[in-house]
Amino acid sequence: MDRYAFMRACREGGAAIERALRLLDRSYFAALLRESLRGLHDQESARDLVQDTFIRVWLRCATFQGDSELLPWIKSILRNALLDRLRKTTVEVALDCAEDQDHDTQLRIAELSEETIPRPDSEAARAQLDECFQRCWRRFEAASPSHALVMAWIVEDGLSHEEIGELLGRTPGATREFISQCRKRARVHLLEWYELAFGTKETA
Amino acid sequence: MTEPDHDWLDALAGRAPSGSNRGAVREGERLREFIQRNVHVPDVSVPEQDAQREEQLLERARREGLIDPVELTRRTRRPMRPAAIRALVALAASVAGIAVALTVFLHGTPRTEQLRGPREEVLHIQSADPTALKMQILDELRAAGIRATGYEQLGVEGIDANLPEPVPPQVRAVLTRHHLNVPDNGVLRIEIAAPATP
Repeated sequence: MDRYAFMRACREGGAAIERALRLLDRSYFAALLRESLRGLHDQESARDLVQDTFIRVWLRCATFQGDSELLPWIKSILRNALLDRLRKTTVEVALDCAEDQDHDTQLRIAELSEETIPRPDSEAARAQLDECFQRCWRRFEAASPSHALVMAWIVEDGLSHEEIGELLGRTPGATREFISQCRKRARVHLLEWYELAFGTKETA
Repeated sequence: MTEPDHDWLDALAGRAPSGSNRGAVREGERLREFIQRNVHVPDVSVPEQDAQREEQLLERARREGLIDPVELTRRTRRPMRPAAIRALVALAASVAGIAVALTVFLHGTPRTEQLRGPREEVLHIQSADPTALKMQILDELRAAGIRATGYEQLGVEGIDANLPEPVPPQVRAVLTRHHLNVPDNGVLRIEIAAPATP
């Protein structure tokens, strides 16, 4: 859907909203459903969240300035709603790194450098690392879904500290704490991968 | 967040790190490499156009007050005869009268969000928690793009705002949700008070 058509419909209201809602659904439903499934892993809840997002989009349409494309703006509304829903429906376990990592691993991660990172020299070793990462990531997603999601979004969209704060609806200080928690939690839940990837254990 | 955390974030996001903590940078880069290779958006296929899905969305928009149900009814149904309309209006008025009488009889003063009258310049609402309701309406108006101001005076919570002309649908939706009429002159004044205790 064209962003200017969207802004026009927002100003006009009435029947224009109905047409615009249909267009939004046709243009973005699939992309938003995929994004939503990333965090919810359930078709029905994911569909409901997309619908909820379209309603939020209309309630906020007057705040869209038209200086960016429509999809990224809508996506940020969906992501915000997704984090809200995860906060309400999941209990993330409090973290104590020291209990989950042995001393050697913590030291090794803390002293990472170019020289200490082994590069797998065979396809088999690389495949083993990938498989290990996927397994650990699934555990990370299950235990700390919002942290895993935000990390994936950081990689995908190159989010800055400020953008993460907007997404979370948190103050700069609380955002810094969240990012710090992302790193700590990743180290705990991806421990097995860290050990292989950073050389505390040998790959097969 | 410490400086290493900053470097880690920059590396994870694919930016040149601002600090010099090589360990944190390498950790962020390695995570980025593996996330890019192994974490993907689920691949689901849905039809681009789905009439049932669109109807569900429009139904929800109607419930939220975004779309005027009268407008839609007018376009989708045949016009009714004047006699039938008069009968329906009379029936609706009777039902509304009975509902009001029952409410007053059973509960005394309604607990929340009672609209006193559209002719007054100030829209009065009653709520068990006036401050919370004021904050909620303020948030919703601001999310709809309105610069609304909240205040508290002599125990009464209030909201003032100037609305654009024509009033945008998302602002109408906020007012409808709280059973408030859209002011004719574009000046929105709301006062929220707790119900008087007997």
